[in-house]
Amino acid sequence: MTRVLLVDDDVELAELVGEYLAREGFVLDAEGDGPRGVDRVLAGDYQLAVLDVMLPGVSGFDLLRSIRATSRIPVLMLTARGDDVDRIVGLELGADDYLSKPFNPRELVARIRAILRRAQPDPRGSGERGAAPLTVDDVAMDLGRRVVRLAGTAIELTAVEFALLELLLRAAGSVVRREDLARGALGRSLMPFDRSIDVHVSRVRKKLGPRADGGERIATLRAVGYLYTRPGAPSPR
Amino acid sequence: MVRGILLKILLWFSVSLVLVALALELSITATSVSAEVRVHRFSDNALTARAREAVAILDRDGPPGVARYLDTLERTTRIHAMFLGADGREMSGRAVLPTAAVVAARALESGQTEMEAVGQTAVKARAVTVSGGRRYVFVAALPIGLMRVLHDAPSAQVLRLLVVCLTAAATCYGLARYVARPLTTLRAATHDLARGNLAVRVAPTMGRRTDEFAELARDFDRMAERLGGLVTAERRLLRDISHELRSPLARLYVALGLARHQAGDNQTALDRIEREAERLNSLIGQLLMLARLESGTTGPAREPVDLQRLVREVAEDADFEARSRRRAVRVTETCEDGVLGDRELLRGAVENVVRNAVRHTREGTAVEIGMRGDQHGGAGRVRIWVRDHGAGVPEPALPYIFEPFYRVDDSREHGSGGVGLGLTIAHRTIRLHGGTVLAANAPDGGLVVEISLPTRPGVPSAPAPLAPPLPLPV
Repeated sequence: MTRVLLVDDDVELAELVGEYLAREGFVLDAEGDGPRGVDRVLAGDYQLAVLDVMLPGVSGFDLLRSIRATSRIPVLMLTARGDDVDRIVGLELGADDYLSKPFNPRELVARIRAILRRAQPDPRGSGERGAAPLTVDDVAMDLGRRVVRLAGTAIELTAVEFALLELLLRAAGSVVRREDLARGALGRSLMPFDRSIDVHVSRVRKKLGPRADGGERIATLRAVGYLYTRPGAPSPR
Repeated sequence: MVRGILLKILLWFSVSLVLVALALELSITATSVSAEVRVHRFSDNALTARAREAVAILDRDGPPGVARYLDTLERTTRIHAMFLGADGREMSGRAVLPTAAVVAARALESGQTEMEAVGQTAVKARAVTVSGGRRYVFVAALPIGLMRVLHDAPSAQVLRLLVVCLTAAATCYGLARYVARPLTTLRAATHDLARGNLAVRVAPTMGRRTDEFAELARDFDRMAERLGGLVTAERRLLRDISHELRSPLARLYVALGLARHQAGDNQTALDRIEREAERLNSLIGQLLMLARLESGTTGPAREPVDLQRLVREVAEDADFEARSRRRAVRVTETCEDGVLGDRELLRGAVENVVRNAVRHTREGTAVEIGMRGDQHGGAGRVRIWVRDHGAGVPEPALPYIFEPFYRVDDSREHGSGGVGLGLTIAHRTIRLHGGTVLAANAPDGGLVVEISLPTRPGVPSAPAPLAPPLPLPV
């Protein structure tokens, strides 16, 4: 049973969502109080947290920040519809994905499944025990244990960031389209005006830093996609 | 109410006038030739002495000497003098004033001093008899009355004028400053307020003033405070509406999902409920958007926006949606011009116009989007037009299609799914960016909506893309 915690002050909504998720094979607990919600998330009883941005008295972003300070648990943010700033801020703070409220419960289930799938250890990696990590110059990804090492030092990546980096590294030297990144890493198509991918990529870029020779690791091709550059290869510009 | 500013201006003016008068009086007294000197210059004895001197010069140097003598006299004392013989002929060749001739004749007859004042000139004649029985008359014409100032040297007159002007300027500057300073402060504050700075206050800058200006400043502050309160309340209300209306909708969506599980194969009614809920949701979103635009307390962001890219992206998305309804969206021409503004707002505006066109274009036709820059010197405009191939809008209705919830007629809107706010939002957004939106019917049918936005000189449309944008699906 996958346990999900919903941090939302709307008790009735939480009941309905709980009932819906139960049919889909999830156990949903609800918490109306933000700080208590954070404590319950950090206690480690849940595989995923759904966080409402608009909570009485406390911002969902603050909660997300305190969760991310110590935990990499997958987090889905519920934002007000039409508020792009909220989405971007949420993603920048390390949310795995967002859903605007009111949401279609089918969509909620789809997103939860997509996030959880990414968070699972890669069966290919775990199947071949001790398989060689995916390596491009100084970056090594251990797909089985879900660890990324940069010149030997472990780097903390969220599930989406991990998936994105994997896609980019597998295609290192060639362009990966934004749409393909979205399908592969978010498990869904890009919505119109969706900037999630760009935010996630910029976080990965920030965490990896520049290449040893000072070059940009991940190049942007506007309106097309992203490219993990090979050292020595001519820059796409 | 005779107090406060009225009294103050009255006092200022009175003091100013008194000071100017005083300055004038003082400067005249200090710089003018005194009456005693003037009388002395004009006395019988003085004239007799002048006459004899003139005779001596005449005997020695002849008429040119006399002319020089009279010129010098006029330059130094301002007395216009003539020197006549017994026959009334002027000895130096000067013209003889008519009055002078009359008075001179009288003097010759009486052998004494004669005087006549005509207009602004006094004429005094003194007859003298010299050795050999020759008789002459020395006639002096002197400016009197208003012309008396001519007695004084030009430099003295300039000095006087200067003193008066300076005194007037100094006192009037004080008055002007006293009135203008609080007005300037208030004007700046009003300007700030109009631009959305509701925290602006002016009373503290008024110092110890207690007049109408200080009261005006306090009134202004009260107004700003009330305005701020209203705006805050409105924003809170908006937020609450957004939250409170959407909470039941959120529950409705989930309940709908549960109902679908139980309904089995018969989902038609639930589909309809979902569609209506979706409409309600988008209507709430649009209302909130409109309210945000209307309140306009914070202007739009002013970042460079690549309009060409924006138009292409909107067209791509809209085309994707339109295809499912056997319609298309095409970009016919674009230009490089960029504008300053809020990218998301502008995108929403263009998108609303395009969506409206897609709703109304006939099946099998394409909505055309064009874009062209109009550069006139420094400040140019960029035009974006969106053209559909639908029934168009009756001419009388054209000015109203940007009004909230305006419906041309029910047949046009029937089943189109529009909620009547898209064009209004577009209109307000464009206006917020200093642009205009116009609607017109194309000559061969269909509606053309044209957006015109000011471009800023030196605003790059955007850095050149690293790779050409994706080709549009045609």
